[in-house]
Amino acid sequence: MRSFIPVVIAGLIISVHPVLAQPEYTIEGHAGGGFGVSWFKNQRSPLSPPENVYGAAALGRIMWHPSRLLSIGLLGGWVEFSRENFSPALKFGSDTVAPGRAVLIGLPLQVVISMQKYGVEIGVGIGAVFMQSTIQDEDLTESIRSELGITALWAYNIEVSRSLSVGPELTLIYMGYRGIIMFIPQFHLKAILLRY
Amino acid sequence: MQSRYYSVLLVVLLVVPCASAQDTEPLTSPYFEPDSVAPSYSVTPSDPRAPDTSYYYHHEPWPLPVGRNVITAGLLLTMLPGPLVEDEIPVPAVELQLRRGLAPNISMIASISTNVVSTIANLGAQWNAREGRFSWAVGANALGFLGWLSIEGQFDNNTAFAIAVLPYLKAGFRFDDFSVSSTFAASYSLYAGSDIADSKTEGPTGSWNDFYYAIAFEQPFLSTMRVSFGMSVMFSRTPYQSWITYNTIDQYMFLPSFFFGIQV
Repeated sequence: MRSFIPVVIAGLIISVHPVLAQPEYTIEGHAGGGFGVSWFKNQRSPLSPPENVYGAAALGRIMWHPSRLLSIGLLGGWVEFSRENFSPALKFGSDTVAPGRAVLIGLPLQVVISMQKYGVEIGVGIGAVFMQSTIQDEDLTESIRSELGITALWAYNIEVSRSLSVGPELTLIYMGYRGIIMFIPQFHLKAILLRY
Repeated sequence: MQSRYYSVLLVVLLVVPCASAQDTEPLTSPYFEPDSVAPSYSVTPSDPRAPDTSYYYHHEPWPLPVGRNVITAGLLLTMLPGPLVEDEIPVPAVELQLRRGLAPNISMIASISTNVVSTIANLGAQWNAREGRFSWAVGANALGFLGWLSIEGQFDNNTAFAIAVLPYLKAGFRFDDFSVSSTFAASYSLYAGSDIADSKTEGPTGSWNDFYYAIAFEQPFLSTMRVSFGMSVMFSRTPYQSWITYNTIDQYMFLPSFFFGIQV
């Protein structure tokens, strides 16, 4: 039993001493959701009003964070840029339009680089956004197309436990081809999935 | 009576040396530095801790020791502008950059980026200086561009060529864990020409053509690796990366690029 004491002391010194301690690498899972506002450069549909439209998003990230500031990962999720319902009273030209809706959803799949310190995270993501548009009036028209998207994010994490943090996140998604910018304030949750 | 003598003697012994000491030379000791000599370290009031000066980056204009090389290899993604291509396509290129200390405040800059279809090379020099955590530089590069594309049977040996001068300004700030730096540049075209499908065309020559801004973040990664990433935006009438689109639009276009590099 006595022979354990020096081992325990050595272990304590190694774990506390910053030079002797192994740098900690982590795999983090980030999840967030919130409502946002979308700005479209062009008119969304012939019936859409020119005002900005509100949408919603649920986004997740898996990040590899090896002991320093920088972390690298993948971003995915679901973003509803706009959802509009048209009442039958609306007229398009001389035709009366049947009740319908127009929905634009994006599924991003992007590479993200972020910097984290003191709970603050700033990052940028580049990659594809799979755009799914649905227009339903008398007929249903659907299309899927992938486009290039750029995401910027700012988050603040308050540590709840050693492995879990919560806080606000502001995400900005920009798509150059269609000219769409969406601001999404999110509730953000960060969990450390693996330490090694 | 005796005690009065003693008190006079005590006053004489104490006061006289103190009064005469004012006329003597100031105390010189190895432990006291004269005021006229500045301390060998410099600490600015806003920066109580001195920055880490043991490493160097490519984008940050920190003065480089003579003979020291900073070599960075990376990837460059340029988004071609909407007016030229229907969809925004990221054009990838590999990039190799060198910064070498030539003189105490002067470093040489050389870089090459290529994706075979378009190759851009830079060679120049910059004057660097720093104060505390701030660093800045003024420099100029000679830029050479070569475009080459050959599609058999229909589109043989198309080439484009340009030479430009690229003066620039840089500013950087070194935080404890990373450094951030900005570059402002403009390019003055000396010669530009293309030979596409047997039609020789001269491009903009003798004019200010492109305006460029870049922000770079450079930091340590893993145990000893140093990485840089950032983005740049270019306002250009004739973007080199899109020479094959046979651009006839005489307007300034906006080209964002993203870069990522590892110090080797």
